[in-house]
Amino acid sequence: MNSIQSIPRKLGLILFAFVALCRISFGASITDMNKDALAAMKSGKWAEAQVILVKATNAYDARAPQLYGPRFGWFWYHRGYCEIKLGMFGDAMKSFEKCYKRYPNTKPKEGQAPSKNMYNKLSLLMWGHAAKGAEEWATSIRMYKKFLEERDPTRDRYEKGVYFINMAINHYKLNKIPEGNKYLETAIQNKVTFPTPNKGIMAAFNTMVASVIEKKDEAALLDFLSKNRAHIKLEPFEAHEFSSLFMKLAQDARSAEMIRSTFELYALVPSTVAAIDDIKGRLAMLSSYDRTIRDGSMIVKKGDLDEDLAELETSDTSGKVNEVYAYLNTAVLHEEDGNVRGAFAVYEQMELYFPNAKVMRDGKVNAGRENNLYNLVRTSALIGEVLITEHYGSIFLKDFPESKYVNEVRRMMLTSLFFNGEYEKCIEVAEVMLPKLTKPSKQHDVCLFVLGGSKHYLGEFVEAQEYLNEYMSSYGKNTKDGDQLRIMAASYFQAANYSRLQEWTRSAALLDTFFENYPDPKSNVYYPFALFDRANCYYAESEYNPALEKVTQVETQFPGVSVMEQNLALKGNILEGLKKAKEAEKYYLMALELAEQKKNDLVAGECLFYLTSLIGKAKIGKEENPRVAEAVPYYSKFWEEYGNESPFKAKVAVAGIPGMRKIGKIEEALKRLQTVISGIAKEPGTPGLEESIGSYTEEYLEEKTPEQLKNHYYSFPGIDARDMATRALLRIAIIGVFEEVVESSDPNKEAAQIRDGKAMIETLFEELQRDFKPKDLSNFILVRVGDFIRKTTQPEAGEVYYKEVLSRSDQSHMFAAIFGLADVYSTGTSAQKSEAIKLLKRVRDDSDDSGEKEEALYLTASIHADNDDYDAAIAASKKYLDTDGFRLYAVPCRMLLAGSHDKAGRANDAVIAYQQVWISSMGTIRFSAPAMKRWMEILWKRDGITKGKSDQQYAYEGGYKYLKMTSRAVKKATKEEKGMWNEVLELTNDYGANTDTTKVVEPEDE
Amino acid sequence: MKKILTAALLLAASLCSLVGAKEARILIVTDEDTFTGWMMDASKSKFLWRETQETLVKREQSLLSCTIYFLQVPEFTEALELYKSRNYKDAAPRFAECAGEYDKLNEVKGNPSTMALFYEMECYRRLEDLEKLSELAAKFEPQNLLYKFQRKQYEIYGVFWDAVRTKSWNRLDAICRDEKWRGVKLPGNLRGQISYCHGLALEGAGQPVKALNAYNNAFVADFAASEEITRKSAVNCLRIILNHEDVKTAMALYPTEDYSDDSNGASLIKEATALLKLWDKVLGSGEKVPAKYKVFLKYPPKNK
Repeated sequence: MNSIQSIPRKLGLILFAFVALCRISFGASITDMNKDALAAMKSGKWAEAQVILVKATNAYDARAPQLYGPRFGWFWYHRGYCEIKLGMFGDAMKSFEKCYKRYPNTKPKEGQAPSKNMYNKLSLLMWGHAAKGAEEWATSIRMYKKFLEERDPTRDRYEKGVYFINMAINHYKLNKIPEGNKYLETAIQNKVTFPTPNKGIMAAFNTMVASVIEKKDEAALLDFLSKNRAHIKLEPFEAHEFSSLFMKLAQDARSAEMIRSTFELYALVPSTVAAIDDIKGRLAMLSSYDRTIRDGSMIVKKGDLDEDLAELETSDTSGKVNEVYAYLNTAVLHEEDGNVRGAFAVYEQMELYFPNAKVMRDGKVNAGRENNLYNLVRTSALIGEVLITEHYGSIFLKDFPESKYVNEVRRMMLTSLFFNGEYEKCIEVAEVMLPKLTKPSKQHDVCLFVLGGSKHYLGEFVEAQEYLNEYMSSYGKNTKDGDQLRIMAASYFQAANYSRLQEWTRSAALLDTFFENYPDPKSNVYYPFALFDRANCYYAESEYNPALEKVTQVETQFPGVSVMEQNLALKGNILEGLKKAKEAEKYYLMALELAEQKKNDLVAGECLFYLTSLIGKAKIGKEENPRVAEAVPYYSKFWEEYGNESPFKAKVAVAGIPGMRKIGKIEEALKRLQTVISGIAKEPGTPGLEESIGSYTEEYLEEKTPEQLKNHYYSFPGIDARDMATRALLRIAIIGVFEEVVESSDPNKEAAQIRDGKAMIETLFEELQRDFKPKDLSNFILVRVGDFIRKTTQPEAGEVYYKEVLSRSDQSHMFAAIFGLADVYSTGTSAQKSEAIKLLKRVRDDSDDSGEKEEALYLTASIHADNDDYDAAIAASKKYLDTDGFRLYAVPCRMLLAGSHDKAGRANDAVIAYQQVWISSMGTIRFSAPAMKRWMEILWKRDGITKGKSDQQYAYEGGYKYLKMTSRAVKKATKEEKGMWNEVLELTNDYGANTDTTKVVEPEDE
Repeated sequence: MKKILTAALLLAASLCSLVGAKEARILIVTDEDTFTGWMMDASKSKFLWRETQETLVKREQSLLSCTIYFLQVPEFTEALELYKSRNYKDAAPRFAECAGEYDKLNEVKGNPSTMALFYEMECYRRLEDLEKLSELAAKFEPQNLLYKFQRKQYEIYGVFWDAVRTKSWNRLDAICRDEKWRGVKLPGNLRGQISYCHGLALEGAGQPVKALNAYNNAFVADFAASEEITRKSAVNCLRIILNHEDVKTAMALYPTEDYSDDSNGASLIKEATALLKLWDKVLGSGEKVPAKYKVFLKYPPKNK
């Protein structure tokens, strides 16, 4: 800094003194020049003054020492002064040099008037100032030092604050930081007494930081700050003036990677609101006082405060506040170093407290909120603050609907929500978004993924499957790195979701593909879960050995997996399926222990059910179970610890009955079951109600009659009259009982009982149809009603009941409904028959009930045959006949096979097939007789050779033998069957009467 | 001057009562004129002053008809230098001394006693000597503080710091989340304190992971200028992370193939490692991080 500010104030006095002197000593011309130069300087017209002074020095300098003596130095001093003012530091240095060297204060020569250069030593000080201005730092230092050595302390006064500051700056500029610090610290510590203006301190500080940065000597700055913080840390009202400087220095330090210094410098920037508060407080004290107050080291002036306040309030209102940059740099620093949470904290503060922040970007002032809010959403998503992402994401979308970040924000909101398990919220957002998104697009990709995944996790499996399938077909083949995690997750969800829909075959195939595509468990977080699901598929298909292999793999290779307790329980199920009851029990106990440890009440309750059920069976084979009572502790533990919440309560209530009966507590068990029935009846959708009522019914009938049961069930304790579902279930139970009565009655001896039973059943079903709408009924009842109706003369009336089941997310009795519907369609139109075949395929593929699968395959064959699709009928029939364990429909299936070959014109195949029917089921006249008849007809017509005989002879002899072998069986046959048998008889007689036929002659009985 | 002053009384006899008390340099500004002088004593409505410390002439002035500008008293300046140098321990008794010396003036807005007492409390707040802070705050009269945010700071002592003192964590958590505080625009150092207290509350209420956010808020609120809050918040974050079960698991699994960089524990270790880096740059204010937290450096991500 140059200390020449005070000089104009003194000019009046100088002018007066000098003009008086000139009048005596100088000629008229030079006097005028003095006068004019002073007048110009007084008016601040430095250039004008300098021109006059140059003219004077040029004109008189050569003779001046002789003419005027040392006092002519005045012209050079003031010329230099004007040149400093004009920034002509090199010229100024020369002017001061002249003043100092050419006009020293020497004794006047003889004859000379006394003359004194009052500026001789002061010109050294000014030379120092000028040299500093000319950036000749060493010269400046030398001149200052020389000035101090030579000055007259009584006369050559100087501003100490300015001197120390300039010395500090000169040293800093020469990169002599410690020396510079000494001067600056002296200036600071004596700032009140020197005084040292804050501006000077800050100018030196600025130079020091620049030097520190250049020398990469951060320690020097930190050391200086540590020692002088009290002086550098100004009061907010004072610091405001230097905020921009601090910010610049901080930025310089940041660029030089001096991070600690950066933040030390930021710490010097006052909070805008704090500065406003400080100024307002001081203005209130000053009231109308408008003169400068020197308050210790502080300079307080109302005018300045008013100005600063206006500026600060404008900044605050407009958002152009310095601290915004400090915050943003803080955010960048934290994020760069890996502390995203710190960056998030900054952006949240920006949103909460500086929503109108403005920042300079590309030389323009821009509103910063859009970027800041976007970064807030982004960082909150990164740290997993899903609800915050959602909150600020919503604000962003509302306030910046046109932003380039809109899509990304939406995506982050969703993925953040999803990966943090906020599935309901995901669905809420994604369902609105999805229809609006371009397809295919990144946003659509994410939205579809999140929607499918969320629905999967929330158990909305039907809808989930559609989304997941669409996702995989649309985006499953993307190759970008960023998409791979989603694709892997979606592949798993797609496969797992099919297993939840009990579409085991599809699920299994997709899971196998999943294992092929993502074989490395280290990079595939879903691997153990997929193994568990695959085991479930195997288990559902009763493929216990591969199921066992998968659960064991999970158990041994993924010991910490979150589904371990479920896995152990499944292993128990599988072992039970493999008839390894002891080992199953061990695994149920392991699963129970782990579930209790993890406070997984659901699985703990489930394990107690398995244990109660496994140990508490009334019989093992045909033998009494000796351990039945050992189930009771598990039964009791279940009710004590898990009974209220567990969905297995109905199952446990049923499974525990044999054990409770064994220890003489059947009443208590029945009472419990009754309570469970009425309890779960109040919770729609709770599984096990049907089974509970079934068991209760069974136990009730141990002591009571069906009539008593009917009365009991019509007013079952605890069941509300409005509880249609449970009441319907109870009615079904009664129907079941009467069906049992009808089936177990002897038609000959108990015809009346059968008639009454059937009447009762019919009445009860009519009541059911009348009293209950399908939507009020549980799946079980819907299927029962549907099944009853489809066996009447109007099977199509059952459709509504099955369809109701299939429209629900509750998957219970699904396959029974599919089968029932297919059966209804099997007698319908051609389109319905095609639909029936599709439905039956679903049952065959995915039902875990082999009886359902068997029936479905047979029915499929029947429908194909009925549809005249003989090849399909043949294929389905063969498949049935080739499947191990399928026996129930073997004969009719062979008949279908034979009939299909026959109708397809494949006589040879038909002959073989019919033969198999009548050979294997000779006694079953309703199949064997038609098979024989048709077999004979084809052979007769074929007219070839079989086993060395003509086909016609062979046909006749076959018929003959059949009639003989079934002659006893036909006596017990129905009228219809007898009619069929007689047709074979007639045909055999016809063929026997033919002239080409040799009649069989039986030897006469002796 | 005579026409402005409400009373000018020669009260030499009463001067003996002022022995031991210090006078503060003041500027008196009335509607019509200004005066400089020394304030000797004051009540809510008026004060005694004299033009020089040599004169025995005391004057009484109504506070209703003027404003007072207190020039900073040297005792306060010295204490404030210690305070700004972050030497709170030595600054506190100096402020207390100053407050005592000027306590006759404490009925006037901006008086040195009230200001010194305020800074004494600030020292104890920064030293987290909450018992002492509570004791001082209980008898402090905030209405004569000069600045709005000083009064707000005093309110924060009572609402936040006292709840920390009494470990009323759930109440404190509720207060911190209240829009009354959360939505208000305060200087960064006040917001930093609130966030720090919130962090303590969440930790105390058994929600350490949520406390991480609060502590991060604390140390960015004034770009680490409140060095004691910054340091403590950072240490608390490191402690929370070190004690986190997922972190312990991740550390245990680190030598095995079961370790995953994507696990929650690994993410927290990464966060702690970042805090260690930031500690040296900004959070530690030159102090060394407690050695036990350097353990995080042993677990760099495996797939960088």
